[in-house]
Amino acid sequence: MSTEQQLAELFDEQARQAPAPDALLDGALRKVRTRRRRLAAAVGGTAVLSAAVVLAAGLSLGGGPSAPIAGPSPSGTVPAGRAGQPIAVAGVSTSCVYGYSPELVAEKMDFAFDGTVVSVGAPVSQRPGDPLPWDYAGVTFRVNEWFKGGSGDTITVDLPRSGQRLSEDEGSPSEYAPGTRLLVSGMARWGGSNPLAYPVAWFGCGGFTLYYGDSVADSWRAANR
Amino acid sequence: MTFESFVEQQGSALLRLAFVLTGNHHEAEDLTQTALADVYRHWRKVSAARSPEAYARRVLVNGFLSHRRRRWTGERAVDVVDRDLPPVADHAAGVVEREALRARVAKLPPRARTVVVLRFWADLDDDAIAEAMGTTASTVRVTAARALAALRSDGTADLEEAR
Repeated sequence: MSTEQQLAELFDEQARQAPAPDALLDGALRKVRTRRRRLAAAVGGTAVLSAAVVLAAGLSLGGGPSAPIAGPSPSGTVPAGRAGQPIAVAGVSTSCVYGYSPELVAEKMDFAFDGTVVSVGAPVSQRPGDPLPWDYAGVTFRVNEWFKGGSGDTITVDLPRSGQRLSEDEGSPSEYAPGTRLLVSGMARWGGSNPLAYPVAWFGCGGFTLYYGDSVADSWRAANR
Repeated sequence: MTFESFVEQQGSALLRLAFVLTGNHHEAEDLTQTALADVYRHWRKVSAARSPEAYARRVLVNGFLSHRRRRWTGERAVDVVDRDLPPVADHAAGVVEREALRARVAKLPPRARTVVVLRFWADLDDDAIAEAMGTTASTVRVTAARALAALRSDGTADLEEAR
């Protein structure tokens, strides 16, 4: 078989594994809204009158086929009393490579984001023949804000499956479901130049992946500046 | 045609192209959504054009190339190689050869990879590839010839970008 034919077959095989296009329209319109918000923020520091004029011009001449786009603002729920708390608390016998701090999120983690759970599926960080150290689920998030490592509107990350305890007799289990809003940080499990390849969240050790809380989000934002 | 119907008709093809170029689900989605956002902003002009899909493809390819110019380091993460592969007959030699070719393609510089994808997967002629990449047909031919030679000899490390 010629190299040309091999290439065609290789690319065909790859194309068949492309993700479903379900989120394209919403994702594209979300990017338009984000760009408009940034434009608005960029002109926000100028005099009120001129800013209003520029903003009005920016929004009306910024293109787009029709009416203003209404879209979701960051949203999601957090279990009562657990805002800003780790999603899973291990017992005292658990050892940690790093104790959690916002600075370590910025320094050591490959990615960090504020996201709302959309769905829960199969793990994504596993390679054939590789036993996973925890009972992981591949959790897809709608990203409200990236602090580090990405820019897309959605991301699927491995997290300990909801309800799992990190130690048998201590701590509290992870609890999440579609609609739960989390602050997630973690690493590309197998390293490499892409921070989102085989992404796995860090958890336990006092933090790294937590239920959303304004003050924690602020600290992550500041640490990643 | 509305923007929504354009996405419905062309979105899947654009996403597949992005995925073959990047080899990564999230990068492909991000690249496609970013390209479509640009199409949206210029929709009046795009919808009146002779080929809106060619415009969208050019925006997507430019997005891919400009991103790679910033980040390319000679290796690329490919997150789908080992996952969800359809069952195939056990032709070991063919599989080994395919994986070797996959690795060599992954090492191609971004413009060379783009040319071979557009030529051998999207089935575009040199003029259409040149339009998508913002270059000339002769440059496309040179890039394609060098890329093929490199893929046959595994000399991708020595392959320079032709512009």
